[in-house]
Amino acid sequence: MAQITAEQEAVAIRRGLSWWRLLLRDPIALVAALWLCLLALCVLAGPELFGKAATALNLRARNLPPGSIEHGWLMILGADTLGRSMLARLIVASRNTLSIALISVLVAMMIGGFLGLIAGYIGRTVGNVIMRLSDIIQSFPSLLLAVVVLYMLEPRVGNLIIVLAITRIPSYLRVTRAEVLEIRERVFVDAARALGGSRAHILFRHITPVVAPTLLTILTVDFAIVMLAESGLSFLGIGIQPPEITWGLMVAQGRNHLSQAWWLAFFPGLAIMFATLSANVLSNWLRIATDPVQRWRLEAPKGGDA
Amino acid sequence: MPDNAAPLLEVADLKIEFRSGRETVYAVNGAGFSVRPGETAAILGESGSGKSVTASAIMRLLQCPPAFIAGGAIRFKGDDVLAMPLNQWRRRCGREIAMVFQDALAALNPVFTVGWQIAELFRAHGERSGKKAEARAVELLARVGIPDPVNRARDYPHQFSGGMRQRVMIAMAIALGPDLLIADEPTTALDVTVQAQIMDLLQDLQKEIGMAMILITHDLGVVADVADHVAVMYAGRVVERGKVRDVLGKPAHPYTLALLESVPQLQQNSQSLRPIVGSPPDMAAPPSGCAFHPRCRFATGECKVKLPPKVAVAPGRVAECHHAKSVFNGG
Amino acid sequence: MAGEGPILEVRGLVKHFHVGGGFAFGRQAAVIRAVDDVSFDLRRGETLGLVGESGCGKSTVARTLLRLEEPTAGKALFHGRDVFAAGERELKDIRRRIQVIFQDPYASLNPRLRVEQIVSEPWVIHRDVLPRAGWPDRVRELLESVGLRREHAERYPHEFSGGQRQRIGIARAMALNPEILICDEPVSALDVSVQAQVVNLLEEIQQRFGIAYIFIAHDLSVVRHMSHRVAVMYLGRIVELGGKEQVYARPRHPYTKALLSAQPSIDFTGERQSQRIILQGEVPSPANPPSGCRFRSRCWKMQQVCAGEPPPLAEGSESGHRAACYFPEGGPARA
Repeated sequence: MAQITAEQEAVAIRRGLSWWRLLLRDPIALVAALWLCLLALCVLAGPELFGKAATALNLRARNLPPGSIEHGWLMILGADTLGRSMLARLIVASRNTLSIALISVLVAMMIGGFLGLIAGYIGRTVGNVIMRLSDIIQSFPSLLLAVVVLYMLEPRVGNLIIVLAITRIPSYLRVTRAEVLEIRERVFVDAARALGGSRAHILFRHITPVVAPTLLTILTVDFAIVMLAESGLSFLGIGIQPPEITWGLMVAQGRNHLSQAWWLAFFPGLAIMFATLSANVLSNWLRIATDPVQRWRLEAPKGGDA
Repeated sequence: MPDNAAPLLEVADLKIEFRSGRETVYAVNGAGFSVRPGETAAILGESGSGKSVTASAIMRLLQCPPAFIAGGAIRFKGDDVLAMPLNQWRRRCGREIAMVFQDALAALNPVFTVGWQIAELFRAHGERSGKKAEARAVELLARVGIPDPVNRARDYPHQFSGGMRQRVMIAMAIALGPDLLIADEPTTALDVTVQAQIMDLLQDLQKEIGMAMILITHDLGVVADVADHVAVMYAGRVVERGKVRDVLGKPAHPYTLALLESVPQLQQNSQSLRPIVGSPPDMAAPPSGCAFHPRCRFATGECKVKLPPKVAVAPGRVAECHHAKSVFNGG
Repeated sequence: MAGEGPILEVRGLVKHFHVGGGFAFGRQAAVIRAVDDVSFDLRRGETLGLVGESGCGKSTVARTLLRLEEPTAGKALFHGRDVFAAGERELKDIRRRIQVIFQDPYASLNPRLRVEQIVSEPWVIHRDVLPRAGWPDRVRELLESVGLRREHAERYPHEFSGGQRQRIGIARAMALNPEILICDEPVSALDVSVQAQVVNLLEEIQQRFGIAYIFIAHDLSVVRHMSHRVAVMYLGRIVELGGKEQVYARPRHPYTKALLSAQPSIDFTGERQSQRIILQGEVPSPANPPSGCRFRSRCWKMQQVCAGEPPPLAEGSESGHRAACYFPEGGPARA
């Protein structure tokens, strides 16, 4: 079979770049990644470093507008109605905000994704039962569900996460099931079955990797939705209880003072926006970078000319 | 047909490129052939050889950009097709030149009945009376062998089987009695017995109307069965042309020869097949010199660097190969 | 090479699909009779060609033999064990010995896995075949044996051409050293110039390892080239079965005759044109096939008897050459 050596030219020699080099080539994704790293630092060490500054009252700096540092650089973003540093409060609040949002969407994704895989692949009866359950969750106004649950249990961080996760499960479930129903008809799944692959083998080796990027994309969108939902609950008084703070709660509290002190709501809102934006950008980049068919888009030199 | 008649369609040194941000694909690289009135010419080639792109260029159906006509000329009845204003050419399409596509379902509009779509063709070309147009549509469906044409005219394209749909496409193509019909892989998606029906129909209609036909296909057997002349395309060039019997009987280009050797025969028990090594070329980076040289067993150093000349090996026989004469005499 | 007893005996295979309907709409569910009462043997080391036009049920036969579809009725004895009745564990063992190559080389490889992962997947499933340490070497060996290069193991499927992908599929099937390889239109999606490469590779593999093939295709010339025996299917039934010389040179069933005459070919002797049979009409719907002989609605020999009992697949004057027709070419069936 020596004649086949001529096939070499058909396969372009294309060695993959390392992840880090790949990220360096995409400045927008890089900025997003750096921003998320910074946020991670805030979450990990923020409350320990700035806990005091965030609660220190400074009556002379009440409603201090942003942009001046005469009361110290912590006041660069202004101060709230009690003269507490906005910057410090934002940093401290990041832990609650991001961990609540992240944990609840992760929990929702894992439960929803798992149920979706089962509903799509295992069988019609099981699938139908799961889908009807998800219908029930969806047909219930999520706010009402949250109010009832949080009223019955107590409004603690753990319970808040459970409630937020439950309301987000159906979207993962539906998307996963729809994708599984499509992927299971693909020929490579038949090939794996013909090799004797068990259901679990096919689900985890062939179907999950194809579904995962889609779930990741929904996750980042949900990230913002959950942060806002949490602020809504906190506003109603059944979410996070002061003196604990989150960005959502800060927006909710700042809303009353919009006409005199816009920065009270503006900066936490901005923080939410940038966090979700960078998560979105990075997840989109990841989706392309992990797809062998798409990866060249990131490796190709910028500028578009051949 | 007399060989000395003036050509109906002439394609000369046609070059078509597809330019995208990433690369330029040289789909057609100087293809040339001609078709005389009434004859059947086949363009034989594999996927990526540029045969369908050439057909689309003749009909001026290419999206420009990304397609870009980089050179050459197409003359229909002596008029330069590419220089003509598009709307003037569109008016001649249908009346003088028409096309049948491989995928009839995609080529028909799914939301109108078949009868309406054919009648619309007559209306667009001057039939005033709607009733008359519809009657002519039914007549036409009967002529292409669709049973119960009155009722079938009221059906939508998806209600037809693959073979019947192709008949509808043919009906639309011949509706205005064109002088030239371009059939782009008309039977590739069909089963052999249906293919035989469709080819039979096309040949009957051709005799009846007296039109010329360009048959674009990858199937050697179809070419042998149907066509008078053949142009073999490889990597965007016509590498060999001549009468079908001559070309397939005594090829002068190594690619034609290799193709014949690699296809199993229905009539005989072939021994081991002799495959063409390697894969079809990547047209974004075509090989230097003769594009077939990496897969050619006759290739010499010359083939790698120099584009082969057009060699006339016999009257009416042209092959683009440095070694055409020896292939012709030895093969 | 084709000798000894059969290694696979298929008897009375039936596959019906139930479509549409559902009580909510008050419509009757239609039954598509994709395969009806198909029986054949596959001998050790031989190639059985399965030809027919789209919708004749040839791919469904393959899919049921692989248990990708559950058969409605019938038996398939593989070394005395019924494939159709096998439980999960037994089926896994059978699948190790009956492998498949699919038509579409683009869809049959998972785009997210590297070639190495694709070819070694059989060993992930069947842990006892090869210890993990041996995988990388064996993968590269297999790639070389199907005409690819060792370094191709690092690549992803989209970096290959159609013919090369089909080779990867063959390497994956060969990883388990199967006894039967079911080839479902393995070259139909490939370019003419590449088809011969894959055909030759399959022949070479058969000669080296003595694997039996069920070779499914609609291209009669390729089937003639590959097969020792050929079964012709029409609308869910085998209408003719015999050695390839018998079927191709002396077809007995009218449908086989029409099919052969319709196949275009580069043969200029001129006899063919005059002998060409253009079948009238279209293949009837498998949801509502004609009674008796299913070909009768298009057959030029049709008589009263054809509408009654379906004709049996009976032997004629030559042994092993069977046709399901009341009026076969070359005389009626032996009693």
